[in-house]
Amino acid sequence: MARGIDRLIHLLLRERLGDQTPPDLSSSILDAIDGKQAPVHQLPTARQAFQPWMGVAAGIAVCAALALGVSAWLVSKPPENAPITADGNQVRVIPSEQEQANRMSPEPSGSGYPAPQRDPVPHNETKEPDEPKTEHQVEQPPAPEPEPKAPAPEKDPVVEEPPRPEPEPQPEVQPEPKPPEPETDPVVEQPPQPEPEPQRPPSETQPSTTVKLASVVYAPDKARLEFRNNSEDKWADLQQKEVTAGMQLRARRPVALELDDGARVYFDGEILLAGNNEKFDLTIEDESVYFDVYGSKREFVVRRGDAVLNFRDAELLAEKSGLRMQVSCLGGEVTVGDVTLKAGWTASLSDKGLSREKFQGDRGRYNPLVASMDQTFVLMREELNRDAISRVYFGDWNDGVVRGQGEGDEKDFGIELSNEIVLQERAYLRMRVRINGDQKGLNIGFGSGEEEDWRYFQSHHGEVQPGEWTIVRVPLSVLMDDGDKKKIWPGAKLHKFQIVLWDKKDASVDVDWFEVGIEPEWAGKENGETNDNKENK
Amino acid sequence: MQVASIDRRATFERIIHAHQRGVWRYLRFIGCSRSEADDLTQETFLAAWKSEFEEINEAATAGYLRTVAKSRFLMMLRSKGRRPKETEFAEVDADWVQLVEYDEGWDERADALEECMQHVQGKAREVIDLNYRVGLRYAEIGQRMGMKSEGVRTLMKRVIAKLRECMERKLEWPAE
Repeated sequence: MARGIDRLIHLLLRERLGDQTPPDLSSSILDAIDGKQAPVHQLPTARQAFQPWMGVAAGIAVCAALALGVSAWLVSKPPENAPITADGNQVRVIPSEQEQANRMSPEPSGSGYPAPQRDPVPHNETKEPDEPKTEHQVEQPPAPEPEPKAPAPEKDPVVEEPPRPEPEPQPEVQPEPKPPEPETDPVVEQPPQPEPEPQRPPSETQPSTTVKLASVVYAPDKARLEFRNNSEDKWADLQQKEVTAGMQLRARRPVALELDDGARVYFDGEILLAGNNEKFDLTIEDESVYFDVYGSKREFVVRRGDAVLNFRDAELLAEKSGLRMQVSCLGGEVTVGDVTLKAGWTASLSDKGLSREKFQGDRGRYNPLVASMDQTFVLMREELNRDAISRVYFGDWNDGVVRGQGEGDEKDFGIELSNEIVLQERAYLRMRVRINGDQKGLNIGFGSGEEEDWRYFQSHHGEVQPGEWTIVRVPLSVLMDDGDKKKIWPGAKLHKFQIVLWDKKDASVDVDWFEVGIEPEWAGKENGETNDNKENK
Repeated sequence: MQVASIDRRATFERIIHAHQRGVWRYLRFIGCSRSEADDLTQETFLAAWKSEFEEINEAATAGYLRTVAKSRFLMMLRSKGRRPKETEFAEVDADWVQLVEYDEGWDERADALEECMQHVQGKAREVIDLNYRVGLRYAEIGQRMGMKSEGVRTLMKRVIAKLRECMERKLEWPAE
């Protein structure tokens, strides 16, 4: 029983700590009962669960039917020396009559036609769907152990096949047998054909080839970033920084793209770009894509196979997972149908929507693409999780957000950094904040022990729109010690971060997270002054 | 006839509300993932609806639904090409009956565990939290805590063993 207790403990812990409580399925069950919809999820169909034995069974069935047909023909065939050779001719005529009958009316219940006696292939086809069913039934007996206290209908689950059997066997039989029906689903039919280039939505890509979508802001040599404008073209090294709609990009290491509003998209495989100034549309051909598009006003679309996700203002990782897409929400939230994925959750996306939702906390940040980009661009990141409570010295922590309120005191939000950071060139602060109430501006500042016990470098920003979550981005080179008018310098050590509201009357600031990152050298050189004026989105 | 059918649906609705959590937990206990448990719970109730079984009492209904769920679970395993060992499976099933089914106090067990968890402190508590709350694997926990994943595994085993002892005491289960 020890193992049973351990199982129970695991289950209880998952429920209590991991929030894996039983969902309320009553409405979907009742809908299914009322015939409004099928159950929300279905067991894997037979198409997915194709087993080698099914192929063997089908082969045996075909052979058996052929043998049966041949033997029947031999039995019915008159002796060669018999004069009734016309019988033999009749046999030959039967197929053509059947074809005619088929063409004229689908119902074989014809008028005195000799019924199509030998047509081994179709017979086998119609038998085959039953194979899995009978297999199930053979296997079932051990499952429903007779429950001593259960009521009489207990055995029904074994017999109760009706809801499931039909969808299961059909799909696997369809692909092989009848050649005349391929036109119904050309998209599905194509993959088996030797087509090396993956399919993509042509309507999105072709018309918008000249639209500039983003710039490459990070592409180390090892990434070997290549592009082509058409799947027929050869891959070529990408020399320019601009990437346009219709381009296919391929990289062997993480590459960063930046949109003109500061939103960033990182990828480490192969992607296809489409869209325009209002929509950024990306198809994953290989590996994964990490979107950090907080604050962008654009609509983002990411596709993999038939799975399509539209989202805005979020941070998420999308990974190729067969024909599906694994979506991990790292910040904000994304919604598909009536399922919303919040930060810390991951789920599988197909054309039917999100499924297999799972809470993974900050595990998404350990993904190689995300982690490597964080290491490349981020000196430190503060999510303001529970472990930050003890370091917050101004403001009230509530579920990952700190609300700072002035009330006469100048400091609205203040936190000890988890690790002292050494300021580097091209460093910038990025944070997600919401200002509540009237305010004239926002002061950000870092505390340092440089040269004195306490030194405060700050800068003022007045453009933050009150009432909505905003990503504020500030180059740290603008920080200044107002006392002696000295600008901050690379190498300065910082250990505190504060936000002060200019006008403290009935105003407050909510902070979701902040990070100190490094602007890529490439971008810095190109733009001269880094991305200083992209600070407010 | 109309009235009878309405009555039956109302009764069944009550049964769904009363038993869906139990069926789902049972499926998790015998080895289903969450999404599998979601699927099979729905299928179990649909099968029960179509079988037109009659309610005798709560325990009998629970037993019946469990049997259907188990059958569906086995079918699912087989459709995926897996072959569960009957003996092992029977043992797991019996454990459920003994630990949960006969005393319908899931909450009582949860409360007992909660109390037992009060005694789990420090590193052990951290490991439990990282594993169950955050969902990290042993290797990832090890990285965070500067331990080898084997060390994390050992620590987890010890914590679970402690919790088991504590649960046995609190719920007066016979100790091994």
